[in-house]
Amino acid sequence: MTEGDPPAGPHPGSDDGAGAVSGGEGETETECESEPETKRDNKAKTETESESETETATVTETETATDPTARPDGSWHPVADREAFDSTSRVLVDIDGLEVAVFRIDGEYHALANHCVHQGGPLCSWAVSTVLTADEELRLALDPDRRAVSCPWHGWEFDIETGEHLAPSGHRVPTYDVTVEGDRVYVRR
Amino acid sequence: MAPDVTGLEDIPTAVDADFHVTERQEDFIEYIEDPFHTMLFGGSGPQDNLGYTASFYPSAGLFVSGVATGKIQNPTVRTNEAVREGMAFLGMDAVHVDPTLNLYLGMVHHDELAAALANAYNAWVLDEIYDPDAGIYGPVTVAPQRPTRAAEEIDDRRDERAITSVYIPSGGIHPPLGNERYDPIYDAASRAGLPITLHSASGSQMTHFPLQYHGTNRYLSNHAPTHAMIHMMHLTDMITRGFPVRFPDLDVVFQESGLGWVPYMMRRLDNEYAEKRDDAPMLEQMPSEYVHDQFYFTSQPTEGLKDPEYITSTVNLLGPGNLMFSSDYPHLDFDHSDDLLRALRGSLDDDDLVAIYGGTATQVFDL
Repeated sequence: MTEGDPPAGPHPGSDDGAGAVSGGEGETETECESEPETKRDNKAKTETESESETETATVTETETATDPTARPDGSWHPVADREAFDSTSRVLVDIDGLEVAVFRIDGEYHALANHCVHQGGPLCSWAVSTVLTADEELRLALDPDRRAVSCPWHGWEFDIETGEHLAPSGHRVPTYDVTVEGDRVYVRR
Repeated sequence: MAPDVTGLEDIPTAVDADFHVTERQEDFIEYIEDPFHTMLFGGSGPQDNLGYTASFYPSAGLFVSGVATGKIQNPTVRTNEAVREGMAFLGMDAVHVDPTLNLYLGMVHHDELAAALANAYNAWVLDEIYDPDAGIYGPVTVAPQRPTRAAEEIDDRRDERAITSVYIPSGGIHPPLGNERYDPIYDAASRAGLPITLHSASGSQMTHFPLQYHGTNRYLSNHAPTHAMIHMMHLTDMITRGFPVRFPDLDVVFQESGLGWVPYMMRRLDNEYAEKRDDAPMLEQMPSEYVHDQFYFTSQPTEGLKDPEYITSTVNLLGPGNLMFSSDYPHLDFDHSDDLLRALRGSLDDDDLVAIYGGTATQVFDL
């Protein structure tokens, strides 16, 4: 499966997430005592540059909640081991009832709410694609530096980095900081 | 600061953005230039034309009941004096004079003849009709069949003080007006600083849009939907193909399609663009924002005048700044001057009323 292809199943969190990662596994108290250091705006560069397949893995709230050390400051939440992104480009994690999708695209992490602001569709469960633009002569062109997620319900597209609706409607989906601490990927909410 | 607007007499400069002459081909055909002048008049005189060439403008053969039966008194407006009489009747200080027969110019079969007819019509209205000192203005009419020739026509007429827009007959033409083949017209209009005016005619739908014309065998079933439908098509095509990006300073005035379709299409386009951005990735604003910025609409035939809630909310949803009063005088479904004003008075600000009744037209047409 290549980037931009839909995941194997229609719904996030369904059985299509073969190899689902348990967020609490492998955590130690020491690793999570302090806030992770490498924070960037909803993305963090990894050492592993290989692009993973667009399959979905899930982390459930129940699993993370059983490990109180997973939230050193009450806002950072473990998503998965970094290795999990070797076999999938996105991991869905439930945080206090909100499903957040964490992507690794071209070696950078991005996190968005898996909730379309249009009509509440599972925004991040479907296609990730390169953004279509128009050049100065209005000929169609692809912007190799931008990616967008598109909602499977109506096709609303959002910049995977900023969460902005590509159509300039002013709508935006929430994005979240992601960081990698040791071998773990964390998202802040 | 606008005056207290209680009636048309309180409008500083009342402008009718869609007034008509009722020209016949015989009025302006003598102005046609060679080679057509010689071809038409240089021979041995007219033989039996078999009925084919009495008019180069295709007729849809519509049975326009009120006109055909004589139940409607249609003033003939083929002279400057007749225009002045109409202005007095309507209480207008200025009028933007559109054609009648040449609403069908886009359907003339011979493309070079169409350009020559446009040239002849423009020569006639400039000689006989337009009169800026008397507030009588109008467009330079162009044939969309020959965009480069249309551009030359614009360049030739642009300095005439009476010329206030570039008129493209919007009915019976193909492809729709967002197509790049029309860019020479838009380029020339931009150079001239003139807005585009678009006016269809119900009988002009028969050649291209909609195909259902042939199923509508009454004037009502043709006329009621087609003006708005063809302009929905053109507005959508122009936005989808990036007209506002290519010509951000060029205003467009849609005439004689009523009001309700405008807020409907603004919101429908926004709704669809939100999920179909790949069809127009060049847009930097939502479609309704482009409509607000550079598209204008004339009021006639205003529907729902007897329903204050409808008319007030529709005008507000369309945007009072994008609406221009128009009468369509002397056509059979013309609106008299006061009806819209009475319907809006008390619910719109005086500034908006002044804008609708002349302020916006004065600015867009640079009167």
